[in-house]
Amino acid sequence: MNAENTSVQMRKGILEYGILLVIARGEVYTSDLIEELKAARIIVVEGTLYPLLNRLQKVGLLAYTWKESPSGPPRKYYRLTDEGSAFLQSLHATWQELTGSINSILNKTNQTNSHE
Amino acid sequence: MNKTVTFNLNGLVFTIEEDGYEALRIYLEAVQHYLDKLEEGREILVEVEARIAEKFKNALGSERYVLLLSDVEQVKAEMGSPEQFQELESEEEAAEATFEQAPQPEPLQRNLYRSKQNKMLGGVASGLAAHLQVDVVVVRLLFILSVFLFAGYGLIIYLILWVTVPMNEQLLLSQKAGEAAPEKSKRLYRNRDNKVLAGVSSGLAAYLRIDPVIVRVLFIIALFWGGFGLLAYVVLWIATPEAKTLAQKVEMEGEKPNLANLSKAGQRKNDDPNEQGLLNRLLRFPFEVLRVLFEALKSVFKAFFGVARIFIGAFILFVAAVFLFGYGISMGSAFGVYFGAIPAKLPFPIDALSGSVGSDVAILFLAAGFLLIPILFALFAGVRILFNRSIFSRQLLFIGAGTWLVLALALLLMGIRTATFFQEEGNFIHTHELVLAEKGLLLVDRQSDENNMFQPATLRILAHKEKGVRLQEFIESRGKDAEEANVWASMAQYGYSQPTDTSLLLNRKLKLYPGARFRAQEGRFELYVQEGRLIRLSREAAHMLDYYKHSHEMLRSKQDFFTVKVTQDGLECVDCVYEEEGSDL
Repeated sequence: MNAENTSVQMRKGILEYGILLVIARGEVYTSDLIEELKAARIIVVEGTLYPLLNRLQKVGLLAYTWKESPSGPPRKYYRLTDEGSAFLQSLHATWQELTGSINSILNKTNQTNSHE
Repeated sequence: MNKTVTFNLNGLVFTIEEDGYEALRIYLEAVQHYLDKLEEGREILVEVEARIAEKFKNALGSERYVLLLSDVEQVKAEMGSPEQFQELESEEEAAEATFEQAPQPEPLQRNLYRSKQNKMLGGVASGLAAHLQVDVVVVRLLFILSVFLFAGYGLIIYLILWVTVPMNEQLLLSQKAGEAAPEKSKRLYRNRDNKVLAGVSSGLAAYLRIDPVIVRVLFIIALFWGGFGLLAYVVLWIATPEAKTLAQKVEMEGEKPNLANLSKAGQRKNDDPNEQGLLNRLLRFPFEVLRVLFEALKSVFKAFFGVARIFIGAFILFVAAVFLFGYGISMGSAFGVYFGAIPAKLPFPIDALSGSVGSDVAILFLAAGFLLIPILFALFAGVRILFNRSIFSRQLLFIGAGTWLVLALALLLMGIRTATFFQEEGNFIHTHELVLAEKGLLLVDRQSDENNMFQPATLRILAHKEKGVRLQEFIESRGKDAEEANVWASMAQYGYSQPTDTSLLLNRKLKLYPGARFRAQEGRFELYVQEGRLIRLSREAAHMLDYYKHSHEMLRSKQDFFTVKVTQDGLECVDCVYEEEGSDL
């Protein structure tokens, strides 16, 4: 059991949430999505994302369209399906719950620490 | 000064220095190798390539024109190693499996699936190979051998497995092979970089880690051993995939397809050919000659085929179209008549025919499909040859071929079933004592009746001692057993009429009673007349006579009616006039 492994697992769970959050804003070009996730430091290498996007699309959470681009070949744009929105809603709830739980634990820890 | 390479990535053209190109090529091939394990790996690869192209474009900006190795390294760092393309997914799937409270580690291992990833036809062989943890090539070889040696049993077994075994999208051979032999996964491929014919020998040599020349010599020796070498070669040619990608080439050599080995293989390719000893080159020489000859033959054949294909394709297409047209018409009318949509006067009673060949609607449909599939195949072949375009997918073709085999089998079974309806013989004699004038010339003529599918009746005129005239209809039939055959015989009659008391008209065509079935009935009239009595035969009635010699002789005489005397030895023509031109001897 090492810390790195655990944080990788934590990241992975949150990665899907992050992807869906970005796409929920509206149709997004794959590269823009990647740039944003990289900027948010939620992914390190881009390669991991492609199979993941493909899987989310395959299970019906995402849909995509090809759009002509003014410079170069057509681009793939992802959007959320209805199913995807519902899925995101439940992730929202889970996220709120989790942050609430963790925060309350952290607060208590901080309080006990300061009391001593 | 550096050499550069131009390449096309997702529709964008780049110029890159040679070392950078080599690095990129190996990287992409390694990525592809990992993505191929995913169902839509190809599609993902296109996206990855698009992304890389975009990155290159940004890296170049407007000042630079040539990509460098460092650009490739930068992209590789940003995109991640080939393994990382797969890592996340496979671990997540594993995680999902554990969430679903089923702690069984490898459900795939226990059941037999067909492999979608490694399939050639239906993925049966590779699925079986994964199940048994052996090389696919071994399984394919066994299938092909069994097709040759055991009269097609292999094919039937394959089709049955194809239909019954479920397809598994994820089942991958290399995973299984990797588990079975964790150190190295050696696969048998055909080596196209070092080939004389199809690269079977050099692939086999790589697999066995011996010199290709040895394998080739063995093949040639085996060739004289009743052609076994040729058969083995062709079978291996069919069963073994060609090592196309770098990863496959590495696997062919028995190495793991990781990035290090891939780069090694990529380098090796460039400096291999010149590192051969004199002896080796001498040994290779005949095979070099063979290869050059074969290549020349191939190009000649290609050129010839280029012209010939237009004619062949057009001809096949034309024939197929004609057959399709004919098929449409005949099937349309067959179904139309059968279901009563088209009123038709048929030469046979359709009610009698129906039921004689088992379930008749079924047979109509079976025959329709059985005939249609080869026509469609010919159409496909014509288009394929002429336009080099597939109008049916591979799956569809195999489904078609499978269906056709099933139809053929069904028709065969029906044929066998039908044959049992005709198994035994039986007969029935309808006897009619005719009420006729005892004196006077009896006229026997043929009644004009409807034509139908039955053989026309023959006529036998015999002498008896009694005064009366007896007419018998001797009917033979077929049936499931002799008893049934007798019944069917009794339900068919030719019929006759007596317009006057000195004339007899015979029907030539058999008629079935209502409810009777066609069982290849046939028969004859037997007319018993008092010995010595004279009768008149019309020419048509004379044609019906079944003792050939008499009638043949008689018919040489040219009159319309013959007067004949009935004797114990047969008929005597009283008024025949024979011209003496052709003497009998």
